[in-house]
Amino acid sequence: MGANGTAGDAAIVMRGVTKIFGPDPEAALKLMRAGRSKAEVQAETGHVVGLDNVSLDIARGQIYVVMGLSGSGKSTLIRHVNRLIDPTAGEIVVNGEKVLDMTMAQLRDFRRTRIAMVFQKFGLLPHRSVIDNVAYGLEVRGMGRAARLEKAAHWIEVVGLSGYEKSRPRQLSGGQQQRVGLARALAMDTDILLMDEAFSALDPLIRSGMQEQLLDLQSSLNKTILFITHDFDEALKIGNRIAVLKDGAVQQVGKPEEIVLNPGNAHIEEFVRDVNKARAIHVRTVMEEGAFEPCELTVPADARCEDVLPHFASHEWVGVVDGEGRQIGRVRARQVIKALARYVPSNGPSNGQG
Amino acid sequence: MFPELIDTRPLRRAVDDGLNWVVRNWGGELEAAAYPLLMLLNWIERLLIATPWWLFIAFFVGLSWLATRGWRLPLVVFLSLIFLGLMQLWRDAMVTTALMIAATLTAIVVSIPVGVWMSRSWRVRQIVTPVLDLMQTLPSFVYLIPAVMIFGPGKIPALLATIVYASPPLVRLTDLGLRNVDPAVMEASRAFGTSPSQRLFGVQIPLALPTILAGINQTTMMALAMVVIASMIGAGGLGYQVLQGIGRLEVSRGLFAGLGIVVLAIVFDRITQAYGRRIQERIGVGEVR
Amino acid sequence: MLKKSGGAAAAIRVAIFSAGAIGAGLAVAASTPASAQGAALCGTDRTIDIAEMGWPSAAALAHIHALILEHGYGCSAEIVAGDTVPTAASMTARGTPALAPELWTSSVEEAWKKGIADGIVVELGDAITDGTVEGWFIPRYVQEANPELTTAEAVIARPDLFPDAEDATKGRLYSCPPGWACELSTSALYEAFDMGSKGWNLFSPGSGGALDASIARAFTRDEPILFYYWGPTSILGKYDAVQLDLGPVKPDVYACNTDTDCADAPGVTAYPSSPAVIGVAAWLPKEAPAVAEYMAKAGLTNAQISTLLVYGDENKADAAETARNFLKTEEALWTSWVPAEVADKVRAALN
Repeated sequence: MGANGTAGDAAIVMRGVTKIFGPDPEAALKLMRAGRSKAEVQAETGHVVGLDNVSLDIARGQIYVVMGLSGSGKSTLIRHVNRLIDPTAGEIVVNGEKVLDMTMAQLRDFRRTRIAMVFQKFGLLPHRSVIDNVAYGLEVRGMGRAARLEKAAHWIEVVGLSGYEKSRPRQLSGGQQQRVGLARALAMDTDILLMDEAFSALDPLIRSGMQEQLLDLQSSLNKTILFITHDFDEALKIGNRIAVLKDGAVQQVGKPEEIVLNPGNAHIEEFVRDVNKARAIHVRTVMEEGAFEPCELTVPADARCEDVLPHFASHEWVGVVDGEGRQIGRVRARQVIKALARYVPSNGPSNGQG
Repeated sequence: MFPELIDTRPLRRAVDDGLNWVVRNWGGELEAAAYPLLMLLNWIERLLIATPWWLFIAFFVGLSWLATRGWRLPLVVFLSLIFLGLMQLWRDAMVTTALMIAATLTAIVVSIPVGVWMSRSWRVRQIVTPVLDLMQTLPSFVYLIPAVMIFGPGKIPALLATIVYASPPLVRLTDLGLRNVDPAVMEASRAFGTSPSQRLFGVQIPLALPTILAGINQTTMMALAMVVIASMIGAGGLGYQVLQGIGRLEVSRGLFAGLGIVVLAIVFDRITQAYGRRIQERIGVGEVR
Repeated sequence: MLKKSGGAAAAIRVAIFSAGAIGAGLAVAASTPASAQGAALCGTDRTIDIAEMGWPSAAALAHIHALILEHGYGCSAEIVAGDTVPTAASMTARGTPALAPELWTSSVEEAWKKGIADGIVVELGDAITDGTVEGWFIPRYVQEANPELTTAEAVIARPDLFPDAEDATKGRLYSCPPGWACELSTSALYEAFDMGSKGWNLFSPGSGGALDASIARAFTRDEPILFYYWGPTSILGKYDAVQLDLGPVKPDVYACNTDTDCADAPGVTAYPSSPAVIGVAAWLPKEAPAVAEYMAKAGLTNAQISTLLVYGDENKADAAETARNFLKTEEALWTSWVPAEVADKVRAALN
């Protein structure tokens, strides 16, 4: 339950979640507990280790991004939260409820009322119209026809698909179909939203637009969103907190900028290398904190490094001010350059000092 | 050739005696069990025979027009049915049609649930698949003669034989269609909290419908294919006309009756396919343009 | 130009010559006995196709003849499918198949007699030497319960005793599959007795198997059944049925009954003891006289045929097996049909 900057207790807690695929996962699990490595277990038993002792805390009201390449286990992980997949070991608690202890009936109720999901391949019902698709979750819940269609119409408008209510999914483009998927999940009015590589199947420009729309909606809805992606840029853009997964194990958890500035290992460093750090890192992360003498030129606290770079041509120091105009720190070129430089472990933490 | 390792005669005697035992002791119960089928068939047959020929033709021409909204299929149906009448095959055609409809309806009622069951359970599929293979490949007379001994010759064994032969395609295609529903859609449906029956009726069956309809079409055609064999155990109709043609060496009789069977096949095949397409379009699972 | 025509003419000459040579060669081959010993006995190189008809005794006979011809006479014998009407029609029209071991000529009499007159077919003798039985039968237990049921008329008066399974208000008479001679004769009698208006249905089982199965079913369940049947057969051997009196035999009436072209109304008559003959295509006695001589002797009595059939039934043997068993166990019988050397060859081949 973390000091991570956002209020509220954890919405989703995962402890020691391990998933092994194969006919006899228990046996393979024993081997792993005895200390064998993943590769050894896989070679000996022919079973695949999907998740390896994953523990995460996802706080309420934030967008939590789990990032990893294919095969990292992220899709498996997200499916544990609503128990589309059962773990071999571990515990999953959602809003205080133990998901693994639920009966099928309780689980169905859970899925109908407390958690909604958006899928990479959209998962729309091809034989129903857009509005019926958006209303699907409500229909499953048992809501009456008039009520659910009204709700669905509202959310169709929110995602910007007004006019397409009667169309069939196959008549829409990929981006439009995913918006239907999003509307369907939002219409459920759940606290928690699971998004499984929701924008990965879309064109870059469309993807960008959807990311903006998600952030926009989140500012008014304040849901707890667990977002899976393989795109580091996407993670940086939308995530309040990022967990990096590799081969089923958590590599690093932290705020986007923490990961960019201090990649935990070589694997993460590879991702970080390709990131536009100038945009990713905020000025306040690298500045010298303190009042100091007021500088000639100031930038707001939420400015990014790329905003401040041009100023160094004519000023040595640039001040950073908060919302009221008080100077809270200052920054100069050397600090920014260090932050933008490629991370080498021997450099020590590049957090702005020095 | 192959060395005689065991004497098969006691085995064969045992099978024959077993059959006699069943005929003697269980004949009545089995006949009673099959009675509802016979009632269904008789009812359909009486209905068809009582229908005036022009009404029958008008009905099917109308049906085919509604299915396709074109003029081609109704014309084909019209000419085909007129052919039956001109060749004085009308009554026989009605008897055969009744048999085919009764068999197809029963096959549908039995096969689709079995197909659904198979699609949900690997174990059931393993057990049912060899049974289906047997039903399709075992020569009909092997089980027909015992059927005649148990039920008596005529409509019941003919109906049973037709159902046995015509059901496997529908079972297989139902199973196939349900299993091949887009897994992404099924997963999404599960994630929103559907129960298995909600998934079955709301997602699987609608999306498997094209395949299931193909199965129904196949079943209809195979029911017609059994017509001659059915007549060899006393079913009557066009098959019996063909049999007479063969037996008495009246080639023309056999030929025209055979064409009559072809005619029925065309009419029912085209109409069921056309309706299949319409249903698919309405539900929205038709082919992508 | 000249060259071309010359070449063409030469080509034509070569072609004619070759054709002639081949033709002559064939003729030579056909007319002189081949060097193989067996063919000498047979007398002909032509394949002797034997009709195997749909009922057990005829089928067994077909296989018996095939075995003797192949192994004993060294002929090339082939078994083909057949039935009374199609086989008779084929033989009288085209002279094939070459042999019908048990041909019931009563219903194909006209065509058959004409075939003989025209020299296309020949009757070598009786297949069943002491006459055949044909008629309408009911189970003995039905007659014991209703002693008055001895004649056809008596039974016709009581359709209620033989209810049709599909229409309990009417009685049912089991006739023969189409293509069998008896189908024509039984249908004619049905009409002649006007059974349709007396509350009866005429039922054609569609196949020999279905007829036998229906009869077996009724007897196994002690149920009443009115059916046509003939002997010698294993059904009559196995089940205790009594024949109904159909009155005197009227050959003219019967002939018209079974002639599809006859315009007169069908009449009542008992079934004449139908000749079941050994019919052959005319070329057989001419080209293979030894074979024809054997055929002419190869008749069996009712009792002998029954034994054949009983063996087949009890031992679940098919026609080929029944034939082999016959040849192994009834040597005294068949060796009287063939010369000694043929008999030896057959014996050797069986062992």
